[in-house]
Amino acid sequence: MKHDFDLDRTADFPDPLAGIGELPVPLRPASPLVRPPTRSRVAALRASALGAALLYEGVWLAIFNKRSDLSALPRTTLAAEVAIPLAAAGLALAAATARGERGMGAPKGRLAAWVLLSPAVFVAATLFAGPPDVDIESFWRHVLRCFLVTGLLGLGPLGLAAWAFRRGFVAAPAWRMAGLGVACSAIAAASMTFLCSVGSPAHVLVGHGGLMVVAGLGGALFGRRLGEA
Amino acid sequence: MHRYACGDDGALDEVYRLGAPRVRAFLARLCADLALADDLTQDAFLRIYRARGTFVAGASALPWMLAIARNAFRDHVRRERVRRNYQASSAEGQSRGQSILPDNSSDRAVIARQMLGVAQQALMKLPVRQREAFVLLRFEGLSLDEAAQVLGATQAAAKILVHRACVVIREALDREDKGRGVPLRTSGPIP
Repeated sequence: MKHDFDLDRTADFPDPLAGIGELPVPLRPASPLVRPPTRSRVAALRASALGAALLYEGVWLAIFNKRSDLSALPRTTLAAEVAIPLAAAGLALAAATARGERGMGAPKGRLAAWVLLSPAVFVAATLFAGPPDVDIESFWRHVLRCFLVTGLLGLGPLGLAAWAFRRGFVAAPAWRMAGLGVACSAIAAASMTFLCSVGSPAHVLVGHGGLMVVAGLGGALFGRRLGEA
Repeated sequence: MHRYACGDDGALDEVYRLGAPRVRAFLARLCADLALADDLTQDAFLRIYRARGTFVAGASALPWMLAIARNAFRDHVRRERVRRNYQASSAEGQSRGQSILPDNSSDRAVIARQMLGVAQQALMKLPVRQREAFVLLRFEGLSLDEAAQVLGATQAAAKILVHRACVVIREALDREDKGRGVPLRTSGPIP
């Protein structure tokens, strides 16, 4: 494929509707009955959604029993376990909500790279930082339980993000909603660190991080319908 | 647009006065049907009203509006596909699109109108995405970067789309030139 195609050559082509700009435009449609939110209101709404999502996580963390070894765990280890999914969440959130040079978000290539990089960072850091795999008799039972709890923890942030960013993306809404899905489920994975003591990388990746894949794909599938302005 | 996004409802008239002709022209070039373009312009501006809070301060309003107009057009295309009569309405649109061209009875004008008809038909036969990319770059005067953002594509992908569209339209125009024996190609305003 010719990437060196000279775009100036498009000027050779005649404009079939050259005079259309001079034709009178129809009357503008009536303003909606409900006054659309202003920029400051949208910003406040999104900040509130983020606050509510963190509150939701806090409430569930208060309700669930904490992991048994939490008090004995070195602070640095716990901080590293929490920081890994939070870093992934930050990356995906930054990609999805970046304003971009033209106010339409990050360019597609950069957006896709960041959204894909986020779970990749989670996988790489978990494999690198996690303790060696231990034999767990009921691996899949534990994984399934953690996956369901992570789903519960992620439900609030995902719903709030879908609500706060509905019809909010003029371009590439599927990628941006996928980024939001990944970010919300990464926040849930960070919360899971306080509840689950199984440190096996395989368990963390599938049980805690599996939702990132599911929510990312869900965001990509339904992003256009939900997020397109 | 900045004032409207900040809550100044009085700026809406100005937004429409400045934006509607460009949005309507963009949509008319995509669908080759002025009546449909008018409907889609109304739809696009309803979306622009709703999304005003997401308009970023300091950004250029035109690419943002065109991106929303494109979303309205693509939704229309999807709806038409569901109704399974998109091709029929598109063919109908081509003839209506040509009827809004300026009328001129001189020989050169007749040939020019034929060429424009060929260009219009070739444009309408393009896949929607190629057509959007070509219209944004050639007729709406957007830069490659802006067009790629409006399309939600990378710059390389947008360039490839335009290149493919150019190949198809050039072939159609060349065929017409050969058939007539007299080349007529112009980038300026048509008489």
